Amino acid sequence: MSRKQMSLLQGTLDVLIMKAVAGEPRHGYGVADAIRRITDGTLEIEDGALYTSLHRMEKRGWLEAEWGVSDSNRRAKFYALTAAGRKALDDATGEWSRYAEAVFKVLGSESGGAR
Amino acid sequence: MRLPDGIRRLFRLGSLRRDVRGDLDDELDFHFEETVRHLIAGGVPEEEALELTRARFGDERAYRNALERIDEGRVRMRERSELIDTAARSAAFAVRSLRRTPGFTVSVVAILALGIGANAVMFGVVDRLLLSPPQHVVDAERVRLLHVRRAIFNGEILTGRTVTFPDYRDFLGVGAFESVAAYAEPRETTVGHAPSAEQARVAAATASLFPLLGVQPALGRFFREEEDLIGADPTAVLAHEYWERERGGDPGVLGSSISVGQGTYTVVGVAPPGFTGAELMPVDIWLPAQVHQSIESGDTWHDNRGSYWLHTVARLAPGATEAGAAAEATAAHRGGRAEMMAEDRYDPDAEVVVAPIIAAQGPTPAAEAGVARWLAGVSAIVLLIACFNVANLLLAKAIEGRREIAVRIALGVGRARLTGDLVAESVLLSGLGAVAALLAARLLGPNLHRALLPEVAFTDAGLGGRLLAFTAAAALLAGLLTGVVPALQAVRSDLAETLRSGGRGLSGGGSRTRVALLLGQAALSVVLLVGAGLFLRSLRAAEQLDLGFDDDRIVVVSLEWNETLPGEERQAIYEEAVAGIRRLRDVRAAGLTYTVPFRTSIGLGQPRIPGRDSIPRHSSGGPYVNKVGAGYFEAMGLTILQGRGIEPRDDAVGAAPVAVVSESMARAVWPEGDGLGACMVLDSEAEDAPCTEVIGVVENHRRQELVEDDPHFLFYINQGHPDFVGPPRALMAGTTGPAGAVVASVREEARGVSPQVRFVDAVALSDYVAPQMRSWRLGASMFTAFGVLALIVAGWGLYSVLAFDVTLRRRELGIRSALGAGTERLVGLVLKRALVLVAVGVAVGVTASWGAAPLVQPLLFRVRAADPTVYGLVALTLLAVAALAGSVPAWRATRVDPREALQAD
Repeated sequence: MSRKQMSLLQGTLDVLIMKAVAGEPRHGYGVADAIRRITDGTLEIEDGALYTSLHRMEKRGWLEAEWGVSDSNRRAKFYALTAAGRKALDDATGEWSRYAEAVFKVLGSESGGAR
Repeated sequence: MRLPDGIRRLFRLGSLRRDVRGDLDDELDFHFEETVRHLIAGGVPEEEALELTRARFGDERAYRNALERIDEGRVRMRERSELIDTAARSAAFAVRSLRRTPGFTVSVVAILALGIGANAVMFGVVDRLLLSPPQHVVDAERVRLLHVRRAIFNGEILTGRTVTFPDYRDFLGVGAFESVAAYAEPRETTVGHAPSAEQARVAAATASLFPLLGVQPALGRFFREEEDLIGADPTAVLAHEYWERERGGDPGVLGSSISVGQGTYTVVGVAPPGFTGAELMPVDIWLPAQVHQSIESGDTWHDNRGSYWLHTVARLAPGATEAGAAAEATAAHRGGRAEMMAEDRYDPDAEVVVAPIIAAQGPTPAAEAGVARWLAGVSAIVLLIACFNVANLLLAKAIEGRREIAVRIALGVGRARLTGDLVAESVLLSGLGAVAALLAARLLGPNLHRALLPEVAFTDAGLGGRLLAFTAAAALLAGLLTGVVPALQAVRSDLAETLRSGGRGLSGGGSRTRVALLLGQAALSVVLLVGAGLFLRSLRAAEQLDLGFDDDRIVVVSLEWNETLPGEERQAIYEEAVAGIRRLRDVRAAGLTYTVPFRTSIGLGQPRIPGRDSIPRHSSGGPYVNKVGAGYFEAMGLTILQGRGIEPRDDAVGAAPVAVVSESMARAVWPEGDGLGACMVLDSEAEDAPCTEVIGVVENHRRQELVEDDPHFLFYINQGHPDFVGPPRALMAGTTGPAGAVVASVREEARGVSPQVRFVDAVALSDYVAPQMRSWRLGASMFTAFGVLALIVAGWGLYSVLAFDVTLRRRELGIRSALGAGTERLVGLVLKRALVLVAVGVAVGVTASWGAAPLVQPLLFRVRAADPTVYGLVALTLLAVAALAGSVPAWRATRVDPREALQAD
């Protein structure tokens, strides 16, 4: 994966992870699995990058981690969204929407000009 | 004992990494296993599943490293915030706890404020005298005060600061000095004109002084080199404080003229606040040395190696060493004095001593510097006593609150946390104490400094950074000192036992600590009170010293003139003044004089006695001579032992030359007692000089020093003596009561005599003597103040311990009372404890004082540092205080109702 793609993904990855744990606490594998299923495999994300993002957000106070028991009855570290995390997610979502809107506008007007 | 968590955490870096790594391993293991399991469940062969899992994860080693770093950062951040949380909780607990007991809080803060405040004030003194260079001196490490060490005529070796103008010129040629400056010590000089004339402290300095020290003027400029030459237009620089006080801080002062002494000077600048030159004495007005000296003293000083009036200061040239500079300066000094050395009139081994600008670190420190060192020690003791006392109070509080602590321990509050809470409480207390101390030091410090050390300018007595830092350090130390012991004591106690006994039981450890603290207080109080006693006795010895005159009942009056007034007119005005003053109600007698004891004296060289080769010499030089008018001996209270004194008939111009000699001189020169009627020739140069007839012998008195081994040789000649013309310099008025009460009316009388009188300087003669007693007075007042405070604090501490004991032993006392112990027995129980406690403390304190006695001996005056009376009185005082402190608790012990005490709880 090229550096360009990475930096594009960095912020995106955080949002995706937060979205994944927003409903219920998940362990790292659960997060990876959820993202893979939601994106249908369009995004090739290394699991290592995923964990880096998880830990960084834990340090930042957006996620909180707790050791619990997985479905497979194993000890696992579960991540949940904190209040600060929820706010960050909302902010990021808003930003993404605006960004996407702007992009769509540009794309739309360009196609209009061609007509 | 378990270490508190905070301390263990400090050493936990290694284990921190281990914890983080373990958690990470667990998490990633789970991830890998789960991924593989799901892949296999999805139908992927095991081999391939493993391969795929690794590929999906990416570079495992790199990610692991990154994750570890993130986690370590996170854990550390959390620990830090937890620590802050704990501190905040402890602080909140401390605030709550102190607010619950306002009386306790106030008394502890007061005691600590006392201890810390005393130290803050003394630190100001020590810093000014011993540690810091005078203000505004730039690069002070390169600036040196010059001293001359030489043997005087009787072989004694003296180190002095005062040199002559030619000596100063010699130093200018020393290559090791980048520059040299000279200045005269500030002298009270009349400023302005009658009737609003005042006296101000005037210092004459060479123009080089200001650039040498590196000081910048606050306004205008300092005088220039060419303005410091004889005949230059007189210029003046005002001190900042004087400018604000006398001229309202008006910038228009530049260019105005000011009349100082016999001259009129143009103000060219204002010095910065707090500037005192190279020394510490306050100065009001700076004048160019050569200009001022020639206005006041003509040309008697310029080439005169007998006219000592200047102090010298130098800045070392880059690369010059102190030793090299001293050698070079010594060579220059001896070169300039070569002629006198050849004539055996100057010590050929005289040497120049180059010493630091902090005078107290040089070879001639003022007596105050020594006392200041002691006072710093004393204030440290006061702080120690305050800490002991507060520790004791906190301990008592902790014991009282023991049940609460036990409950908190039972509830699972960590001991570390409890210790933290209690230490926070004491640190908070000492912080409050420090604030109170600084307020007190700010309010009282300047007054105390002025009272204790009037010869030192303390313009920076405010809240300097150094003082703040010192106070904060003292407060923190006090907080830890007072908090740690009680805190450890309190949390160490046996939990179950405490809960069971309802907090009544007094653990042996706590009690022993309290007793030890109390003993310490008593012992330190003894040390301080012994010091107070020794200094008080020194002061008393100095005050009771027979000076030969009663300086408390003599007023010295000196007249200052409007302008150069002929001698005859001055004489006439003085005579009129003395006549008027004699008529005042509270004046016994008055007489004119030329010199004033403890102010001036004149040595004349040897008088010749026809028929003899020479007269015996005296160790203090002389004989000294004074010219006095009728009434002088009566005013001074000096008894005529033989013959007669100076009478009115001797005052007139043309009167026969007569002399009255001091007892010591009479005994040395005429051991047979046949001095009356003898002839002395004063002008030994002239062959046919007339005889001065010895007409009487008078009592001795001290000349300049309280401590003079032998009375000096002195003779008095009459006003009308033809050899010595010149008007008197002062008049002495003997008073019936204390001189201070008569000074005003004497001054008024003298002022009214003539419009030519510009200013009347009238003071008690004791004012001239007092500076010599200052070090004893300083020691006596400070030791007494601190000693009494220590005693009050210690007595209070003793009382609180005894009262607390009685409360704790209510049950025991109740039982004893029920079993028939009488009042006497109960009182005895309590009092005995008090007296035994204090007796041990006294024993320790006396031993300590005895040990320290040789150190303080040089500061005392005619008192042995091991003076048994002082020690005895101090011991008795402490025992009396013990009895007093014990009396109330003892009384309370007799009032314990047995039934109530047994039923309680």
